[in-house]
Amino acid sequence: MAHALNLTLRIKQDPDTLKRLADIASIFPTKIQPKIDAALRKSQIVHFARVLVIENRYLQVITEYDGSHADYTEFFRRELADVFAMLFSLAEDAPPPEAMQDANKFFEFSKGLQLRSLGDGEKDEDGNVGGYLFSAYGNREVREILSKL
Amino acid sequence: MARIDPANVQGIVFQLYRYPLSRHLLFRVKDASEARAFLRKWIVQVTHAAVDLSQRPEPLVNIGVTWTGLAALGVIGSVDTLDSATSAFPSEFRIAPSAAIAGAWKGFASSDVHLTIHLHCKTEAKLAETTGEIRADAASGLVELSPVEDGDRSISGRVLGNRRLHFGFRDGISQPAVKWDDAAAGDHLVDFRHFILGYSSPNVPSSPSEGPWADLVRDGTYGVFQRVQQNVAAFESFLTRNAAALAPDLPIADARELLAAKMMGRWRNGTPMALSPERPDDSSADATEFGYSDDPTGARCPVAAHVRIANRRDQPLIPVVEPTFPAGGPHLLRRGMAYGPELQGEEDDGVDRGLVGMFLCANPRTQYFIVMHWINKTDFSPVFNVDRLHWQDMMMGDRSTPGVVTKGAIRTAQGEVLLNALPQFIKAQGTLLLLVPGMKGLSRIARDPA
Repeated sequence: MAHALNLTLRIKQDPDTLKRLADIASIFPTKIQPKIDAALRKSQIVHFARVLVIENRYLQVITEYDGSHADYTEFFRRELADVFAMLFSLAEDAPPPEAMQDANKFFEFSKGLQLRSLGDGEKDEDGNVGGYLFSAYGNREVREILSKL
Repeated sequence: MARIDPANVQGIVFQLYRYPLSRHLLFRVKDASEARAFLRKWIVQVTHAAVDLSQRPEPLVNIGVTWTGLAALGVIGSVDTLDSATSAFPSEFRIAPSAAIAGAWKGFASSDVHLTIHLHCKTEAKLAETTGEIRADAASGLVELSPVEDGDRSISGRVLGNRRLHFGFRDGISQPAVKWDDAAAGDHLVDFRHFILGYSSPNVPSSPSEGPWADLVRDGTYGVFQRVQQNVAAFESFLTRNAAALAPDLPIADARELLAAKMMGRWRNGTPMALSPERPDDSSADATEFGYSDDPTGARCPVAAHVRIANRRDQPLIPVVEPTFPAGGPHLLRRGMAYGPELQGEEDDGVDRGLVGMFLCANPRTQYFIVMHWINKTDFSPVFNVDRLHWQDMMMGDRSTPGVVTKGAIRTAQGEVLLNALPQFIKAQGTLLLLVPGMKGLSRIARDPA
């Protein structure tokens, strides 16, 4: 069953950070996107993924993924360590980079960036009602879908 | 390199107490100063791991503290700020799990519980005496919370015959063999960091990992304390209804035992299905050294048998799960006992019975909660058929988990036998996330602020 990641970080508004944001945007297609793509394919749990910037004030990582949020977080912390370091360096209240080497600190920080969508969906793994998430495939997971292709 | 000092660790972490009786008292702080005074008085009674249990002294006493308890006792604020504590402690400890997965206590919320006292005794007389002393001493600073309506208002456990629990299976067979000293030999042993706080490492992380909060929790552990109701009538009648389909050539009594063993992964006497799939074998009833790598399809031990999920042993992990376990695992120390009278026969008598105890680990998220996730949805290993990613642990799965398929499958020589509409055999009746402090940590918690 798919879960929504609506990771939303508030971008620091100082000139250096905004310059780095512009640099990241410019290299994203050639230097960042391929890394993300490779990790997503390896995971076999992510249905869709994208990264957005809203008026240079917010950056979002939006995905739909299967399985445990704990496994998801740790897998991508290791696979995309430099990408996340780059993105989190833009964020207000981000812990120091060395803290991101700590699996627990990374998990807690990223969990704090999660937004709940409007409406009510299925219960998440914590037993709490998640936000509304529509799936045309019911609760079919990536591995199931891929096995049928 | 580090070595655990047993004298600084509560004894319940080091070993499974093989005592016949237990009692668990839950308290809310009403006066912090008086509550700390109570703790200072009772710390000398706490059983630490250097206590010689060979003479079986009683009572054995252990103490747990919740996140709200750290606040109520004034620890948060005296050690460091609330913000620093919130950053340091894992969210699983700070935020009570939802009632949907943790069950709900009767009459109070998990966050109302601040302090827990856990007793193990040999005799009813000593249990009653110690309970009375605790209650008398606690009265000025603590309010006891009672989840039980019958009998003593605390949660009391007792060993059933032959170390069985209510589903009839022997318990306490397989416990991790822990390497308590980095310098000691034994690479096959489990790193103590999986269970002991204050020694976080990149491959076995735990939190708090640094600063004054890490100092506080060092040599402690987290305990997931639960009361779990077991529906014995549902289990026994399920066996009766489905046994013949599994083994039509066996007498019904033997077929029932085979089905029970296939669902659990061990025969009721303890024999692992992996070692003896056709009959129980007393010579291997206590076996703990076995794996599943030569049984990838579950021909001997079904892939959705409980013990095969709760302790994956040598089963591989799918790529996305593997990074969570660089040092193996997930490992849990289980400390539990039955509560309530045994059911005779298959008719439900309406009596509450089940299991009370603790799962001890240094990282609840990647140890306890991950195992619960796997029990409710078996998707962590390539041994699980990709068409059955929504299936569950046949014994312990929560059938209300969204999107799951409540079926089981058992391979036989004649083909696969499907179990349809697996009933709900267990139900959590309340869960607490506890810090089980080390002895120095307990003393610090009990200290009055300067």
